[in-house]
Amino acid sequence: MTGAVLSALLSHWRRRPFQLVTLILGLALATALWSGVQAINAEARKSYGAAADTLNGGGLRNIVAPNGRISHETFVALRRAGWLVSPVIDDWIPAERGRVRLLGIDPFTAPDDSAIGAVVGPDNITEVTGEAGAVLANSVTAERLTALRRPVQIADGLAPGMVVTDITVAQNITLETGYTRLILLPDQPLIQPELQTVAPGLTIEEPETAEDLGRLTDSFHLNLTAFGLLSFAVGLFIVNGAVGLAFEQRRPMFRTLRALGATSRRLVALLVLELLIFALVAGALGIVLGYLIASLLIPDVAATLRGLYGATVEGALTLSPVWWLSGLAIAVAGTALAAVSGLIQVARMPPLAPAKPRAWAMVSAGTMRVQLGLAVLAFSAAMAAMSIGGGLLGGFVLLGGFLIAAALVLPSLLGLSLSLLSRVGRGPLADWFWADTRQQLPGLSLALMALLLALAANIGVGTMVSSFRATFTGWLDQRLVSDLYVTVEDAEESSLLLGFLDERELDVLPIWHRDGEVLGAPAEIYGVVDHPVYSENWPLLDALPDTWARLATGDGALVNEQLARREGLSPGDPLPLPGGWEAEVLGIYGDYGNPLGQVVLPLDTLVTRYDDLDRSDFGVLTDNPDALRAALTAELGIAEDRMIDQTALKAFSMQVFERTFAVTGALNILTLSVAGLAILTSLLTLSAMRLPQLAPVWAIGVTRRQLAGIELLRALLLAALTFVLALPVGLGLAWVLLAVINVEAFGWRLPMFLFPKDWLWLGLLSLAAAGIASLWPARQLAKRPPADLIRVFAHER
Amino acid sequence: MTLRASDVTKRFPGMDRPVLDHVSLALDAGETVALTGESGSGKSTLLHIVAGLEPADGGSIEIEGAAIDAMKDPERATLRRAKLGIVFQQFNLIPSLTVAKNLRFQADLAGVALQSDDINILAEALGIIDQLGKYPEELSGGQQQRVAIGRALMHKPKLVLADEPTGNLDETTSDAVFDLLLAETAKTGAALMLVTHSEKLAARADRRLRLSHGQVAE
Repeated sequence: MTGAVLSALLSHWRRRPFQLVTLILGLALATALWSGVQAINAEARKSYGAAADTLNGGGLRNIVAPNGRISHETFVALRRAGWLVSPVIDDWIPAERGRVRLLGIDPFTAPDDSAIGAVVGPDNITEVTGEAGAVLANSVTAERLTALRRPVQIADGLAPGMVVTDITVAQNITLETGYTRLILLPDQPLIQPELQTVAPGLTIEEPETAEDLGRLTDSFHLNLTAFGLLSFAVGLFIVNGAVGLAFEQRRPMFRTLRALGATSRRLVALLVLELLIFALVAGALGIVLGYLIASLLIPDVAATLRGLYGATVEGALTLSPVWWLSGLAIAVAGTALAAVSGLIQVARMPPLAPAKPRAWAMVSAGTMRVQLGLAVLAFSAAMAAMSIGGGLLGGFVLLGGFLIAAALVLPSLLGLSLSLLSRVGRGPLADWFWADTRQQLPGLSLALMALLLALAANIGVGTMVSSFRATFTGWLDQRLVSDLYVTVEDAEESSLLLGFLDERELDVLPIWHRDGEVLGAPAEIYGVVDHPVYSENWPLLDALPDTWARLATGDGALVNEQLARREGLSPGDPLPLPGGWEAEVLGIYGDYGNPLGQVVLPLDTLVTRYDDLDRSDFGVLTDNPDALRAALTAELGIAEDRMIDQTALKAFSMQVFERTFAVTGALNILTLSVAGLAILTSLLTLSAMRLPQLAPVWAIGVTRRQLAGIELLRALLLAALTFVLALPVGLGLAWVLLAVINVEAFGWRLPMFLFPKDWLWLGLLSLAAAGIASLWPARQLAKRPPADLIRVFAHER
Repeated sequence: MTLRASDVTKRFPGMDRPVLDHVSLALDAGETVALTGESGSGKSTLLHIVAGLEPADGGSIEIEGAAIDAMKDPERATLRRAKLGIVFQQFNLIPSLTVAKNLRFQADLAGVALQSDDINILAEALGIIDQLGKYPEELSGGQQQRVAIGRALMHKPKLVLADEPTGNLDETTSDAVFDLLLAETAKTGAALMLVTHSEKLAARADRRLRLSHGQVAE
């Protein structure tokens, strides 16, 4: 009995292979985008873990200096005082495709049981020490070190983008003296002098963990996950359509099987089995596709993470069994979600239910009302999340609720639009066109909802990225006020530079700073000179009157938006600063892309208050940066790579920016493609069901070519209307991304700009997607043999 | 002569012999011809070929002197629109249009200017005056077929082709619908070619033709 029933059920797919392909493809694509994103996230998290393990020596604390540099003398003093510390050089060096992180350690004092100790040990200690000592890197990173001119030994346990070697070798490579930090070994003597007594100004820092980097990048991964989920939802629309259609087409079969003795329970169980088989096949296919998508996207993701957070992620994928299994699980869960309503209907269907398939494409006014009710519910949840919730999760609930509500309300709005449009253009064909399009709407609504979501995501993310770009470009133009930026090697070179510039009467803007802790979090403290170039160019988001004049007098500070938002600071508030003094907040400035808080003080105040400054960077105002650059190299011997002019700096910044958002662009295109496929599959499945409606019109005297043209026009019209309705949804999405998600994730708010040209382009793209998707069904109709159409008049369909 | 079919031949793939084997017939204006025959004898095929819905393998068809076998698809569509009225067994109304719009659909397509009360007069005659605002799915089978007859006649065609127009109706309704078809066709002066299994209905036509083994006989 079971075999016979299953065979009968499966015979449906043998007769309709295209429908089966649609179902499998929809589910596979949905799974692919989801599992691709998961693979990327897993790879990134793995890299954070490896990086943190190597960097912090397995969870050990460090002694650090505010200016990032500890002298050899201080190190010796600490050792003599009984502090068991091991020196580390932690720096960035140029490599192919960017930079790599160089970690120089002292193999003789480094803790043996730490991650570093595990990398450099008795096996290779002779090779990494000495004048010609080798560096250690994993095989992928090793390929990027061709310019290093040092032997490279492969150590695959190392994090991507990480190079480890002996501390002397590291000093030779970086040409730096002193150390970046000192690892505090776990077993310290019971009695030892206070740190501040031996080495004033140094502090003990808790270990960096994978979680720190993870937390910093969480918002980015959450964004990717949200995109994956959106694509998954779009794919599920295809699955839901294909499964729903198959259930409706098989209603006569279900009735017959019930009449022949198959119980409702057995029927449902076998349908579940059938779907499970499909889900597993499609899931496996989706995982393979997901792997390909992830492989294609991960270089961009790695660039994004490097650009935004300085996190290094391997550019290649390694996959775990958990990932495979979770991919299959999501495919099964998605199928269950898409098929649950159909299965409930079958379970409840009386044995003598009407054999004729209920018009699958029809939807009752009741269904429409239910959809509207759900839309109101989803919208209310979104609003509640906005007013009550908060945080990143609240932001995403707001986003999800808003998008679901928009998708659910779409068929009603399209129906209304078509009713209004039907008043335009009279005539028999026009009348039929409008009426028939309204009737087609329910059958196409799932695909159109998918298109709406894809377009809204495109508009929303596109607006966010373009707003970011516009703000960032403007901000760069304003903030990069100097024409040439110079980094000097030491104090001697600094004074040479200042003398050289003074002789030529060029204005110098020192960019001196120190890192420190402000209100309990790491922050950068900068100093600026009193120069009109700042007051004329530096954009302030909020400020007290006469900000720059008051800053020049030394009684205040400027803070970046991140710090202001995090600590709830407003102009006029007092700001406690390292060293136990306070400054009044005079203004708040935008500081896009910086994860840290930042404070700007008058340079004199900075120099007076702090003596451990990094004084190596200068900005110079000049009409001819190229000539100045050449002169500095020729006369002072400043290396070319220590100078960069404004144009190059801007170009570099924009390059980082563009790569950062390349991944969102790729996901946008993928989601839109899935929506295009949803339209194609809906049109193809509907085209067979539409013959009874088209054949009489043909018989009355409308040619097949005309009918095909009308079908094409219908798809274009619906896509155009969906696009028009997607515009406000996309802009709403952009607003949520910019004003809620971005603030929660990064701590700064971007102004929203509108880009009508981009919309026009996207509108054309959506018309092209709909046009291409409807071209095949339309062509099929135009070429359909008359015998197919005549058959409509002879048989009950 | 409204319709002249000469030596019409049609063979379907996989069949031993042609379903229509040099069939010839003619209809004058106002004449009613009933075409009967066994299932599969080719009655509907002949009707479809006459309507230009399906091409013949050989022979010629002229409607009002125009040879449709020489026409291209758009020309045949224009001819169907203007000069033919077709009534199908399955009614085949357009589900998305109201009864009133279904009634005037072909007339509008053919560019026939209707008087303001033309639809009401015909709907009254067909007994569907109260149904004009409804959609086909809201009507009974008999009512739907009345609408189909009305649609086929509204533009005053020269030839009405009816393929088992009462095949889906009960006997009482069938009689009533057939009466209407005859009466309303007569009013327009059109020729009527009717495919039917019913000897009773066929007997009411001016002429009866029987199609058997690909041949037509009086």
